[in-house]
Amino acid sequence: MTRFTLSDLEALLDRYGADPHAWPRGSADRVTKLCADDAAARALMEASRALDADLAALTRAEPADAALIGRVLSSVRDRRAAGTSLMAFFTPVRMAALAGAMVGCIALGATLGLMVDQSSQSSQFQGEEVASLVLGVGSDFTFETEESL
Amino acid sequence: MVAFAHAVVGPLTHLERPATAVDTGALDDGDTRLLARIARGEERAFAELVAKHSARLHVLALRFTGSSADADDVVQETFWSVWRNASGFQSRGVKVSTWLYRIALNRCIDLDRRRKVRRLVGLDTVADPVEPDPGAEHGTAMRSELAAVAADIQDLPARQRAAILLAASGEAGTADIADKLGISDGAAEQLLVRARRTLRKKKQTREAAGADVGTGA
Repeated sequence: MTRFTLSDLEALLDRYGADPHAWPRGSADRVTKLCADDAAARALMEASRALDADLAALTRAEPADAALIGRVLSSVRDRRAAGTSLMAFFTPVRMAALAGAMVGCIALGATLGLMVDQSSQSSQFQGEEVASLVLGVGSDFTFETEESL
Repeated sequence: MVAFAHAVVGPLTHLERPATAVDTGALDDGDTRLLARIARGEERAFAELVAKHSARLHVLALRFTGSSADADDVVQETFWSVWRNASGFQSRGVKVSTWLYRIALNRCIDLDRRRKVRRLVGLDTVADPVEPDPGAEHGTAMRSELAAVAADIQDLPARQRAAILLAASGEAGTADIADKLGISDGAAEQLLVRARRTLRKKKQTREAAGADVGTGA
């Protein structure tokens, strides 16, 4: 059997904590023997036990707290209500209207794009052509500038 | 408690979730049955699950985040996620409680990440306050030491923090911690080793400093 050292004890405690029930079989006897001979081992063991106790105290859950449960359930109820009102907005009729509006916008954009593209092949004044299409004024329309006034 | 929960939620309503069967798998424990009822929109079952697990999740989130308000948010987010996804829960050998812890810890880790980003870009200049009085039932010296250990836990990297808190809660072995964190057993063990070592060394340093003060050294 190899000698059980202080660093072995440290590794054991870091891995499993100070509870001997969590240690591999046979470890407890070796730890007991080392602690009997070595003050540093005893101090290490004591520090590890104290840490385990602190951690246990910090993570001890209180009995179910009615206020906490109330907050959780209220929160879920509010979120559901918000989700339900959002769902209520998107009725089939509204969805159809939105879809129609989107299709209309896309069609208008595509039509304008085609018309501008065709007119730009026959004219150097693309800006004026677009203005005539969008604003509905004649192609002979000119913007008034300070010079023309 | 459930009656109280029912009073808070209001009348039972069936919700906008398609009714589906939860895969109860091999682990047909009480929680799995509750989850199956939640998947059918039963609020009473949901309230039972909240009553059963909220306190443990809250203390875990509290020690992880160091803030009671953040812990509340984490617990609420966790159960909201459960409510929405109950029908999609596939047991596959995983306990419902493991699923809950996994959701909560992921929320905690996300929160931690967002905080770091906020600090990095200067939106969050003040360090988050650590819960002021952990273990109020203990004496002053003990409370002070617990507060110091709680602060040490806050300084750990997020995954080490999650692993040590799960181990400290006393119900989780290394394999269970690995499950809850979604990592391998070996990785979980490494996280625990590093976390324990760091916390123990800090505690020993504090105690040595205290002894020096006591002896006037």
